[in-house]
Amino acid sequence: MNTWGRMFKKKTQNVFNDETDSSSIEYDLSPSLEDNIEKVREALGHSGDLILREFEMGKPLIHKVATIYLNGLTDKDLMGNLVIEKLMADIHVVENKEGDWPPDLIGAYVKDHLLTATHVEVAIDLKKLLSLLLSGQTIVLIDGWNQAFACASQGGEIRSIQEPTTESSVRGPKESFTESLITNTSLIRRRIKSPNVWLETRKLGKITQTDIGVMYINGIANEKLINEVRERLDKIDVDEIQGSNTIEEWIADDILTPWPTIMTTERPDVVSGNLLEGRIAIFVDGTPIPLIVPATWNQFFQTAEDYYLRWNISVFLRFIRIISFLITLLGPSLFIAFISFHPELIPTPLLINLAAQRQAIPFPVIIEALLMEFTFEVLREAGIRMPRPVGQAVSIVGALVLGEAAVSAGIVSSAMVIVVAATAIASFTIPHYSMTDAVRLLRFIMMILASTYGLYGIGLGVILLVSHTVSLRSFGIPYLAPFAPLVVADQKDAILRLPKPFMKNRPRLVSQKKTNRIDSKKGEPLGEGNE
Amino acid sequence: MIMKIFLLHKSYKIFLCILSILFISGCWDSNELQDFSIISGIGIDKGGDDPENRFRTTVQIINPSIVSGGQQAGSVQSSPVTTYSETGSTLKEALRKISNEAPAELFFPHIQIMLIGEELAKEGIDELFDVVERDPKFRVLFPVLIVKGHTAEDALKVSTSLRPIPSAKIEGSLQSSKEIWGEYPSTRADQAIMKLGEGSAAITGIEINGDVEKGNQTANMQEISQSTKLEIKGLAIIREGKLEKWLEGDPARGVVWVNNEMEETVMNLDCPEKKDAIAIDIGRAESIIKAKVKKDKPVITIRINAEGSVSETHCSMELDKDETIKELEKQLRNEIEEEVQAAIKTLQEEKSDVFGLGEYINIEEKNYWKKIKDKWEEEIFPESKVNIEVHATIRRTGMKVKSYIK
Amino acid sequence: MEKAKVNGIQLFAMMFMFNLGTAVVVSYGIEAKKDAWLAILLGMSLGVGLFFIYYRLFCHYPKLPITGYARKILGNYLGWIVGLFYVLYFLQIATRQVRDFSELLVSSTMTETPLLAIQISFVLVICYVLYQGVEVLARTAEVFIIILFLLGMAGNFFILVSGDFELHNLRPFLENGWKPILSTAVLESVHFPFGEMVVFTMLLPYLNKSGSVKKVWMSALLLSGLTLSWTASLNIAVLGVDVMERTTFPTLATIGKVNLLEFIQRLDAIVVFTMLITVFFKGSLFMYGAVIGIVDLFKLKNHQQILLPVGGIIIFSAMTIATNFSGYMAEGKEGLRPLVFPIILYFPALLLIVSMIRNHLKQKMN
Repeated sequence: MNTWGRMFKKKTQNVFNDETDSSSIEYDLSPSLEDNIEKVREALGHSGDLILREFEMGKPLIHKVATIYLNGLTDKDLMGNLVIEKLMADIHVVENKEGDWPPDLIGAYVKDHLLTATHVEVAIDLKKLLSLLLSGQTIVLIDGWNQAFACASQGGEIRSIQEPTTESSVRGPKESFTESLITNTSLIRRRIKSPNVWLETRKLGKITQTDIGVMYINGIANEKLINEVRERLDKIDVDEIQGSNTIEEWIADDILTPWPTIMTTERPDVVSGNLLEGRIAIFVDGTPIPLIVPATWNQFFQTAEDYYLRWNISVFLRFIRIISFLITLLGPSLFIAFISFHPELIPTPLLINLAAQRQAIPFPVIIEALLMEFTFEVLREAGIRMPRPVGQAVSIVGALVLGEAAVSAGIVSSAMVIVVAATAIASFTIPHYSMTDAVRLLRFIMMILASTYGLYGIGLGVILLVSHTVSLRSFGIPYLAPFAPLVVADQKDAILRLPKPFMKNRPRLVSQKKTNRIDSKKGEPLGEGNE
Repeated sequence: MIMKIFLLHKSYKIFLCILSILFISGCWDSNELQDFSIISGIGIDKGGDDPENRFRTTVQIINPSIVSGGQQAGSVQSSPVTTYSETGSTLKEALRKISNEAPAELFFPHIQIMLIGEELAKEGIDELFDVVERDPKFRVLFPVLIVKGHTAEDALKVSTSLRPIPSAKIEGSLQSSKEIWGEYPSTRADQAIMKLGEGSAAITGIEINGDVEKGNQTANMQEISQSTKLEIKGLAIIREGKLEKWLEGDPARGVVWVNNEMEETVMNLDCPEKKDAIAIDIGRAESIIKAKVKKDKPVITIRINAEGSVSETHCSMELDKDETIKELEKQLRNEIEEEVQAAIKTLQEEKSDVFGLGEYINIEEKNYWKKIKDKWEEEIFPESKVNIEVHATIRRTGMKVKSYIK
Repeated sequence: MEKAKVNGIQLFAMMFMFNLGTAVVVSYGIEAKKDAWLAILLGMSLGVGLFFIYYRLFCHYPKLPITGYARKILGNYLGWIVGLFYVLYFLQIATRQVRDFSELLVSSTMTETPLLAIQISFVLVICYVLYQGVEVLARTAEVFIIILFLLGMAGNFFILVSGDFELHNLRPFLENGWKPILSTAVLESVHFPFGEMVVFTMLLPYLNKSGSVKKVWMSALLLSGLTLSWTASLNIAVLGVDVMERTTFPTLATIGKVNLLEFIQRLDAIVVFTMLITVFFKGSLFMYGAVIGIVDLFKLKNHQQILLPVGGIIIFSAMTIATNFSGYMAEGKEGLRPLVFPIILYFPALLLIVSMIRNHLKQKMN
């Protein structure tokens, strides 16, 4: 399935050459404090944010202690209170009337009795030490002891939980994810307080060492699916993970298709809803947008809002979205086809108006359409990049003035402006922008087909698109499920949304288990479906 | 998947070549709207006597910018339509020759109307419709009219107000006349073809009232009372493809009654003191035809159901009494029967069965029909007995019961 | 044969659209004049009879296509030749579908486009879909049957509402007696399209629940027969028998008459799309039958490698089988008859009889 991945697996992208993995990191800590400190400094190239605090512990036999931390990654209060204070203040405890404590006992004593940090890990080699240091923990080195302690003191500035920017809702919760993996997973745990919510963490990216979290609900998610996700994540062998998109492109089934096969979202309630249906969420530290696998086509037309509004309006809105999707995909192409190839199919009064408009236009329809569509894409992109105060002006200028001026100048016809505007507005109703992007690209292909073969071309294009879509799978689930293959039981939440009392079962295809939502007994796994 | 073919098979190169041929070589059917002359009306006249110019065709082409919301043009300078004419031995030839004069390729699918000159109609219109049926560009839903007293060319030249495209105006009048007055049915090309294939047909006519030359100018359109007008008038009986007779008035209305095409109309009834002094608005009408064969002779029964209400009186009648209404109903029945009778009589005289009554006999007694099919129009129809039953009801009297007239 | 599984609904969708094929647009059954609908229903019943032959054969050999069990029953050489006949038949009919569709398009809306352009694009799309395997074809069918259903509903609704439907055009019943009905049913309706379902014998091994073959085939047969019969009656009612006899694509003419509210008019696109969908599936299924037959007979590894060559053959034949449309239609009616009946009736019956005899003998010997 992962053809792309397999093709490129051997050539891992090495940004630097292998010297980063030099033996300097493969170094076991020595009992000498000075040596250890020197090694750490060297490894980080004497970075300015590496803060070293050397002090002494114990009386009368003084042990030299050093704490190392990276400025900005640690919560200094925690560190001060739980680490340094304890080491410095509890002097009396370290006294030993009989003489010096042997080093190992010192180490054990410090770890077990003195460090009141919430979590202490032991590092015996430099690699582990650096990894812990770079995670924001404080390293405690004791002279004479060849182990280092890392105390949990992660802190620093991270963004607080804010309102979602792209997926807002009227009646639902207004939280969105942040860049911290732990915060994000905690948002999920707050919603699903079941012990079956399991989180598997790993680090990916040889240089970036990004934390990845795979979250699922044991007993609801399909084991084969979980194994598949693990396998695909294991295959990723790169230097860097730049956001969840990198992971997406590595583990997706087929990245040559325009359709997105993995869903992304900003909202915790969407993630928890999907987890409860048996899907798996992949969190990436540093990105506020986790991935949800597997994803089918109709999911991209559902919003969280659907479940907070009443069912009848949700059904209506979903239909509107699907129809808008069709408008975006086929609108300009149908217009081109009718005007160029089949003007006999347009009612006469409309035709006369269109003919009047087109009298002065120097371009053929396809060129005009491409021009307008392209202009609109440029406007859209510009609107995103614009700084906010100027953004308003751009949209007004772009939409009204340019459109009006272009029509008056006789470069495009008003009908074309209307079609392009309708297409664009329709594309904004699609809740997930990855699907919107797909449609934006596809409609150009449709336009070209329409300009070559007219309605027949559009028909062919639709057949090609459908057969391509039908052949996709997202982690083993056919992409167009539950339409093709038709799974009647899952229709309750595909396009329609029946009221909650009717939705008794989970989507059968995803979890492949007969699970009852309302009366939650754990069901037996079903036999193989017709996949 | 596709990448696999690309990288693994050499045939992808051939595939790409084929693909590019498809896209590069051009779109054969692609046209630009501005490259079309949209035709709103077409007229066919007799051209000459030799085969080379058998037909003279006229096309009325729309000027879209004047017609559509081009109110910014202000005063109407140029005419909303233009006509061109040419002769040829076949209609297609004549139409294509017009391209010498017309500015762009003729575009037929939006024809609103087809006019046939009377002279040509007298000689035969059978063959005119083959091109309409055969060519995919002609859509068969437009009405066909025969021009009475003038040529189709002249009729297409007359400018009209209220609907700047004359063909649209003609079609509009035809439509509203059929719906509201009911004297003349509208004959679509496909209906005409069906009827012509089987026997006789009835096609509505159109007349030019006024001077043709004056009608040819936009000034005509700007006058408040136009000097030259187009009027729907006359019902032409076509027998064996040739125009035989014009019907008007009662016989024409009778045809409409029988054909089940009467929608709304007005019937005038008599007062005790005055003739034709009460107007009844007929709201609904229906005709049911049944045929029987008795003693080897066909008997056809036409039943007409009509429903109306009193809409105007010129005398004082006691409309609040049931008996008065029943009296009026009786009169109404007689009036309708007269009209239908007039139609049947005239058509039997002309030996033309424009109603397709033969089909009803076929439905009832198909074996009998097979025997008499060939003789139907000539011999049997003129002699057949046609019974007319009319059921007329007057339901209401409008907003008032008795009139203020004393 | 691929490792693929098709479920009942998908097979039903494919069969239904296959049967509608071109028959839903051309003047089908018109030899029986006003009783065309009856002739079609009779042809459908005869198609049921044919089905039982195929079904019995399927029960004996549930995992093999017809080219496979022909070899088992008649021996390798004879069976191979029979299988080859079937492959050739499938190729021929696939070609006809492609040509039919391109003719429709060119004569009705796109008059200047050369046939070759339409044929190449059509066959290429079929190749793309078949390349991905029969499962993709089946799922695509599932999606399109819904679209087809909507188109059909819309079209029928508009026609009925527009007031052109005159029931008395269909009377008198049995105007010309039983003879034309019976002759039409036996000579025409049974082999087009019900007999053509023999191509599905190549696909039955893919069905995931072998027990439901009967249900699926019968329901598709009945439903498509009813639909075709209804369409024929609709056309006659709206157009009249004479016009329908003379028209090449009556359904197109019928939908052209719809004119509601001055706005819902010129709905030709509905019929063109319908035909695109149905002929697409019919053409792909025949081509697929041919391809699988070739893979089976010539022991190829997979079907992908033979797809483009077969497509090329089809395009070439589609251009050359007839020079003009009238000759083409005549060939379809009279020219194919001697070829068709052996394929759909005589050979399967022969296979069945021989197979039953062999089983009987085997049992006797045991």
